[in-house]
Order: sequence, then structure tokens, then C-alpha cells
Amino acid sequence: MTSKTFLRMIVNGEVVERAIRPSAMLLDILRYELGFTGVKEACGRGECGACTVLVDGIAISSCITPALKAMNKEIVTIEGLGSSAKLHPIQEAFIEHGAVQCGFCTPGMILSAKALLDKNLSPTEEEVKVGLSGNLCRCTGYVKIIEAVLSAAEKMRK
Amino acid sequence: MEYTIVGKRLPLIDASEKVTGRALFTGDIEIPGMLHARILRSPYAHARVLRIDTCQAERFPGVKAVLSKNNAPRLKIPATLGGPRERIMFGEKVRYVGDEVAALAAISKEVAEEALKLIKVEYEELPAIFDPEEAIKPGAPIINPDKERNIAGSVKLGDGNVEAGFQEADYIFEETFKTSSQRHATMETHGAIASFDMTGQLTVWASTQLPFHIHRILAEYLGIPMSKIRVVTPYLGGGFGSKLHMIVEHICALLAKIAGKPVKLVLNREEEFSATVTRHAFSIRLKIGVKRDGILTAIKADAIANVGAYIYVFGPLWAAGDGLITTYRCPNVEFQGYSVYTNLTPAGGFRGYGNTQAHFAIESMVDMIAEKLGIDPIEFRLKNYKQAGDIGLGNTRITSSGLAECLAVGSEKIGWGLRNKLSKEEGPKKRGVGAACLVHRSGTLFALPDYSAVFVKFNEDGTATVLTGATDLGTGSHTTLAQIAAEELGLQLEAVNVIGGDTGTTPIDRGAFASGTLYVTGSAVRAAAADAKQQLLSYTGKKFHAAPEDFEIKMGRIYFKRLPEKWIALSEITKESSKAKKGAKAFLGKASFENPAAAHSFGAQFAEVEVDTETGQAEVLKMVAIHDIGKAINPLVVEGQIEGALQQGIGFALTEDPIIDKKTGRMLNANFANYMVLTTLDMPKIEVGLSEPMDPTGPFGAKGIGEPPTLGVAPAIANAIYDAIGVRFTEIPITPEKIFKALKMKKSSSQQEQ
Repeated sequence: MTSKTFLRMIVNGEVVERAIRPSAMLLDILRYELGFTGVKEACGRGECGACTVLVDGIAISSCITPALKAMNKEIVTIEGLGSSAKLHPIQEAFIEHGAVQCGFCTPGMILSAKALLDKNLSPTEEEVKVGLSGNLCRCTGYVKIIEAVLSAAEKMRK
Repeated sequence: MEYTIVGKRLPLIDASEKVTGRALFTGDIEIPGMLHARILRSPYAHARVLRIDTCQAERFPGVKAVLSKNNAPRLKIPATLGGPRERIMFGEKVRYVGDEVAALAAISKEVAEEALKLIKVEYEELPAIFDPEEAIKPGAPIINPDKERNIAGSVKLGDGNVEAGFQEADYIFEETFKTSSQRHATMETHGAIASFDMTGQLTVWASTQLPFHIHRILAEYLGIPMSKIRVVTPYLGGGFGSKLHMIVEHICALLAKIAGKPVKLVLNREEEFSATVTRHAFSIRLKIGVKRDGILTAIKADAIANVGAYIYVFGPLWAAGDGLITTYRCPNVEFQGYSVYTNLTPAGGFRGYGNTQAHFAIESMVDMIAEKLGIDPIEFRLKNYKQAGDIGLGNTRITSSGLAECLAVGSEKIGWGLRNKLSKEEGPKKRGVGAACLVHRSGTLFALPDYSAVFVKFNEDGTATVLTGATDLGTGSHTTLAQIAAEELGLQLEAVNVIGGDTGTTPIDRGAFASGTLYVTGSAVRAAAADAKQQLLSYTGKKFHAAPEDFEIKMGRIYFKRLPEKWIALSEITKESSKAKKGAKAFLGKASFENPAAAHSFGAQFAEVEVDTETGQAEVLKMVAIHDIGKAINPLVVEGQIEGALQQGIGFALTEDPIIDKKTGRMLNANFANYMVLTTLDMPKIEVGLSEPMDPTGPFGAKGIGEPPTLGVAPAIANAIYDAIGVRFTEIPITPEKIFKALKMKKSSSQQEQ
């Protein structure tokens, strides 16, 4: 057995302390050990964006990020966005604009959008496209996703 | 007719589950004591499995079940959708790289992966074949010994006399078109969980479009009565036809039976690309005779569909034949299609189902003919395309068509007048525009049984629940079915819930495929809702000494028609009927509905493309897609279907290129880095429009929309590329390499002429 290493991180505002395999990816811990099933696994190679989470506000592919890179950092998964009483404006916009179809890429897509809007609340359409270019969707053709992000930005500016 | 809920742009009823990440997909479900399965796959394209030694794997700590030819049932599995009973899982031979050799279940995925390496397999490699045109030649290696020349099956369709038709023609055109084995690339891979309880009851949670087919086939395969099996579909992460086939469910169930514990199997991305199903690669030889004035005299089409290692469906040949010879008015037509085995990943259903391939051929060819005759391609189509009242395949009458409107609106939006002009602009980048028409059936009339049953029940508080076997694979069908029920019942949308895709609690459903959920299941929902409403109004009538027809329900209120200011809340009735100590009554509507006419959905799609003549890169700048879908039950959902199909269609036309190693048969780009699915940066400007002629046979006048928008994209793009650079591509995907080579050849041949 490989020896375990201690990991401490803050996930959706709660401190998590765990002994982990040093080779574990952040996805393994978040999805399979902590049960954040909103973190989707779809390629395992950092090529599709379905496993996107925010680490200190930066959108990363958790399937290729070693969990130890998250040491002492703040992680946000889709479960940490909005609340059941009040959704985040990006979530609201995704619903309203029909930006959701099967919903499998949606958590990653929304978190990439959040990382983008947290840095730039007035993105151009091109900037939105660049910001979401690492997130694949096979259902929507992205049209309504882009509309939703632009509309959320507008609401968040107010 | 004014509707309250039908026709409205409404968000999906389950969207909030999805945006919060709470929607549970198959892979998200955990069951106490659950094991994890992995599959050992063939490294060879064609080989005999001489011996398998699983002893070491079985002894590996944590391994609870191993499945191989040593213990798997020797039963031929029926295919889901009318395909033959042919395949034996874990059999004596492997027929493609990725074919299942063994499977095991262990306490974790990691242990399962480790243990797989301990299985020893002795193979005898056999000669393999990948090109169907080679595979049908005498002397080619035989893949299925029951079938001669590797021909899995054939379809012949026709009318009139094509030879006589060619005699009458002023011009005869002949061309061969080829299409790729495009991958579905659903974001969620195939997966299932199987669990037996102590009474022998099997529950399977599966990412499938066809829970009822899986239910029936599992019962037969496992030798268990259907009453002892329940197939449940959790949220589905896309299907597009890939989830019409039993890929993992039976393996999970067998392992669960051996282990006596629940087993989960979720495929990884490489397996999804190389070991599930693909689109059928078609080769279509098309011969068309035409009069000088553009009247068609004969269409003859010969198609070969590459079905890969096993045949899962025959349908794509029928659909291709339908698309090739019954789209345009022509008295003499003939289609002959063959399904041919090769040592490649099996082909299955994929959005358009043979008709996408057919459309690339016929809609490219029509442009070639129009050019030769000096007729505008749109005018040519308007003149020859079938219209409402015409007869289609299987003697079915076309019930409605909005094609003329689609063409008119689309040509305006794309700037059709720019055709032949854009390419004259100076510089290395050349632009062009192209168009294609499309037609597709709603459902599978005559080819397969096509019916759905539905229950609609009023709850005690006056809300309603729809129990339907339909699965929503992301298309929004639960939402549109809820809208149909709400409209028919006179309730608000929020008052209607949909329970779907569970063979244990919902009545049989055709399955979510062939653009039929809304058209067939939607009609069943409407009929079941009407039944429930009738029961409720009969009760109401008795109470008020009136006839049921004297009432109507609007937004949860029952109005007395003659005195519109008089109403009673519907919930008053359901509360009273459920609380009565004597005379209590439930209002449970039911319906079994068969596809009545397989209504044809039409559309016109347009592309503006820019080709960089220095690099061969073709970029789609704009796509316009105008579709006749009958009444749009929810335009937001319909637009989403069209926009998503355009992404898949552009990929089919230009970028999605499964690369198969010619020596080994291995797929070399079984990942998202090298199999190019379009990203946000690759999508063109998109304009979508709807023409909504009410179809007399669909629910509230609606027709199917799932598949149609994939059909015209590739030919519209190929036609636009021709307009831009004067090169006709007959094989897709049209990659930069192909364009670059073709331009080089064109240049050298024009230099030789000088």
C-alpha cells in the first residue's frame, strides 16, 4: 500500500481534512470520496471541461489536477454555487435561456462562466466564447449558453 | 387555436436540477456494497480466442466476479431495434479492436483495473478487413460464418422502371458519395448498475434511450420473467442514438448475478469512442436521369453501409433508401442497399439514421444537376421536391409541408443573391454559399412497431402526474410532454409532473429515438390526459346534474360553459372524490397510441463558408436553418434541438474524422483532443427559424424535430465550398488536407490545359 498524505482544503466554504493517496486527482477526492457528484467525469484527460471546479477562483480541470495542488486552497464545485432558495444569476440565466439540455456539461460550463465573469463582468461575445472554449457540449451548439452568460453578466452588473 | 401552455417558450421543468448539479446520472448513483466492473478488450481486429485463464484474476484480493467465454451464456442476444439475433457475448471470436473478451467486478475500479492485467488470453489472429467494398469480394476473410460475402442483410425499394427512365433522360448524372463513421461523443458515456435482491428481483439503472427494449432482452438473455426485472433510467447525459443498443446492461447483470452484489459499469472515454457504436459509414452510388427542363426521369441508388463487426440495426438502410429515392418527385426509382460486416466498431443508430448519409449524396447531386442545367438550385428543389399530398415510402401520404416557406425565408437570411459572386472577391480566402433541403419521418412507421402507452392520473390535490416510459435524454421531452398534458388537462405547467423511463412503474414506450417521442408518445400523453379529464368531468357532471360536455377546464378551474362566470376549483372535485366515504373515485387516464402517419418534417439549411486557399481550411461563417416541424410545442426546446444538431452536422461535414489504423483496425483518435468536436470557438453565427404548418396527425399539430436538423448541414456546406472554390467534394469529412490536395490538383490541371 502506498502511504497516504494529509490534505486540507476548503470545499464550498467547509474545511475538509483527509488522508489521501498522493497520486489522487482532485476529481477523485471531490467526486468519489466527498460525494460532490456535480463534478462530472467525462474524459479523464482534461479535454472536455465537465469536471471543472474553481480553485481560488480559477477554473481548472479537476481530473488532471493532483489533489495536493489544492492544499489550503478554496474550492468551489457546482454544489457551492447559489442556494436552493436563491440560485446564482448564471444558473438562473442558464435556465431562462434554454442553455441546458442533458445537463452533463452544465456544472463545468457554469463554473467556467463564473470564473470568467468574476474577472470580467462586461465580456464581449468573443471573450465569452474564449472563456468557455475548454468546455465541450454535445447538445446545445453553445448558442443559448453564450446568450445565457452574456445575459447573466448584464444582470450581475446591475 | 389559442393555447395557454403549448407553443410557449418555457424552460425545462428539470433545469434547476441540472444547473445545481443535483441531477443524478447513472454514474452518480451509489448503492451500498456496490462493486465496480471493468472490461478486458481485444487488441486484435479479428482473432479466435483459444484459451482464457482467469484463475489469477479470480484470486486477486477484492475481485468478486469474473466473466469470460469460460462461463458466459452461449446465447445469441436479440438486437434492440429489429436487428437480428446474432451476437454471443464473450464468444469464441473477437471481431474488432475493443471487442469484449472478459469482464470482472471488484471492490473498486482500481482493483478491477489491476486484476484485468492478470487475465491471460491466448489468441489466434485472423486476417481482418476494414473496407466493406473489399469485404464483399470473393475470398475476403469471413467475419460471421453464417453470412456469405460478409453481407449482413439487404434492402430493396423501388417503383416504376429505372431503365426506361434513363432512356427518357436528356442527361444522366453518376457519382459516388462517401460518409464517415462519425462518433456520437455524448458527454456522458454508457453506464449501468445492476442489483439483484434476495427475492431474485433485478433492478438495472441504465443510461439508455430504450428501457423497455433492454427490459425485454435482459429477461430473455438472463432467463428471468419480465416481472422480475425493472429498468430505470436516471438523468441521461445525451444519446443521439448511441444509447439504443445494449452495450453494458447485460454485462453488469451477469456480473451482479455471479457476485451476488450490485455492480456498476461506466465506460471511459476511450471505450466510448472505440467500443460502443458509430454512425454507419455509407458509400452511395447515385445515378439520376433528368430532362433538359429539370424534370427527373429516374433515380437509382446503390448503397453499402459498413455495419462493423456486428449488426445491431437494419433501419439505416431503409432510412437511406427513403431519403435517396422518395424525396424528389420521380416516377422511376430504385434503391438497393447492403449492410456489410467489417472488423470495425459496430455501427448503430445515430441522429438521422442513414438519412443523414443519404442527404449528403442527394443534396450534393441536386446542386450538380442544377448547375449543369443552368437552373438555380433552389428553384430546382422547389420544382421537384415532394409536397403535402404526395406519396412517400411505404405508400404514406405527406400530411403537411412548410418547405416552400423554409426556402424563401432561408434564402433571404443567408443572402442567396451572393451565390456565384462572393468567390469573385480578391485574396486567398474565398467565400461561398450553399443550400440543402431536408425531409425526415416522425417515428418508424412500417419498419418497426411504433407505439407508446401512457397513464395520466389526477392527484387528490388537483395536480396531475404523467407516467410515461419515455426517457428524456436531454432533448427536453419531459418538458414538452408535460406541456401537452397540462394543455389538455387545463392545468398550469407547475401542476403537472412527469415520471419517465421506468419499466417498473410506467407503461410501455417505444423509446426515445427516430424523432418520435413528441409525435407518438406526445399523442399518447394527450389521449391519456383527455381520458382522465373525461372521467373527472363525468364526476363533476353528476355532482351538478349536467353533462361532462357542459364543462371546460382552464388553469385549474372548471368552468360551466353556459355561465362562464361560474367556476369551481378543480382541486375541489379531486378532494371531494378522494375523501368521499362512499362513492370515492380516482381519475386515472390511460392510452395506447400507435404512430398514425409518420409525418414528414421538412427544412431548408444554408451555409456561408470561407475557404483559405493557402491552407485548405474551410470555416463556416454562418448557418441558417429554417424548419417545418408542425406546431412547435416549445420553441425554446425546438431551437435548442436545431442548434445542437448544427454543431454535430458541421462536425460531420468538416472536422469529425475517426482515424482507423489501416493495419490494426485500431481507432487512433479515441479522445477529445484528436477527435474534433466543435467548441464555442468553432461555431459559426447561427440563425434558426420555424415554419409551423399544423400537421393533422401530430399532437396539437406537432411533428418530430430531433433528427431533421442534422440532415442538410453537410450538403449545404459542401455546396457552399463548391460555390467558393469550384471543387466538388463527394467524401466527408472535408478536411483541410482534402481541400488543399484538391486545390493543388485543380491548379496543376488548369496549368496543363494552358
